[in-house]
Amino acid sequence: MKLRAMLVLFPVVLGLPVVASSKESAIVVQDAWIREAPPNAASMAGYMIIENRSDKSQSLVGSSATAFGKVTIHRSEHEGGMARMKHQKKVVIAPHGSVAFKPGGYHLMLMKPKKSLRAGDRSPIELIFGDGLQLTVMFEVRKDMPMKGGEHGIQHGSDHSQH
Amino acid sequence: MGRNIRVTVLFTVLIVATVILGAWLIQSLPGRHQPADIPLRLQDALLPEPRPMTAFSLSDQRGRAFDLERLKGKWTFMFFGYTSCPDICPTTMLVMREIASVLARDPRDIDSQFVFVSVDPQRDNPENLGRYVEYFNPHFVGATGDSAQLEVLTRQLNVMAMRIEESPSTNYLISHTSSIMLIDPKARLYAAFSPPHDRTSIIERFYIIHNYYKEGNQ
Repeated sequence: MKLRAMLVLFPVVLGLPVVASSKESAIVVQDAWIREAPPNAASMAGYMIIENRSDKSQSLVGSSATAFGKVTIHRSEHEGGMARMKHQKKVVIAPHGSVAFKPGGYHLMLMKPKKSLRAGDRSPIELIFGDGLQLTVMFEVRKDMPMKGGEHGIQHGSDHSQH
Repeated sequence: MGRNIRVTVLFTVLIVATVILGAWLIQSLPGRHQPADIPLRLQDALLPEPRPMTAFSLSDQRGRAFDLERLKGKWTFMFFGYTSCPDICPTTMLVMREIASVLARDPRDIDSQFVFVSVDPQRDNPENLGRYVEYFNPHFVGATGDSAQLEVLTRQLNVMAMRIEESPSTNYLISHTSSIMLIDPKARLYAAFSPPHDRTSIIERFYIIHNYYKEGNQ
């Protein structure tokens, strides 16, 4: 029991912001950020850590945002000296596991920003999971990788769970 | 029994001696790096011998010629990408910005430049290329040309770029070589830093290269 409470508190203790979680906390999204891009950039990238606190595997199957023309899930890979981005139909998060979206790996490709987003801005992005769960996650625009021990606090995203 | 062993030993010694002599002969050819001299940390990055570049003709963000002449007399860090690349390119550009700022603070006054070559001339033009590279550092150079002009440069650096269609076709992606190329002040490809790019490791290796170069390994 104690261990469980510790695990839940772990991100808070580390100072990592928990930006959204589903009602039952099956899915918790932390450290959601969009990298600031040159003002005319045709696409940007969104990063986060998705944690699955449930006993069954969960999959991220889609994403959308009103601030962008289109959002797709991609993974960057280096293969034989070439960088390529592969479209991901879904990203599976194992039971009690987590998947990190970070530069050079998984990312949300945010195409055609409707306005220029600068560091400090916040922008909501919808995450759609395989079982119909939808989470609205507030992404913060930052210049580069987040610094550890930044802001605190838990913010619950609006939950459109169809359960 | 004893004779057999002696013959075997003799043959082994002969073979080893031949290999060593052969390797020594090859390595002592002029212009080649002596493997024993190459600092261990550079062995993945350094070319077996510097490869002189030949004429090419691109334009920079101000419409000026970006050609072989522009590579002479300074170290060039060159990366190939495209401005609508959301992940790898900005990640690499941030690494290049970090390297540039360390070099700018270096009291030894190491002359260097940072060049982003767009392999997407269909969507990138001098104007958006300029806004893109100058966002990372106002001194960065953005260069591009038509596909034929680009090929003259990419071919000699073994850089590849491949268009990947995803629907709709206007949103195509480009798979591209993601190494940071290091060109020496004599306009020769000298080293290539392969991904994933770690800013500290590249800076450290560049300093080793810089010293190694000054020691006469040109």
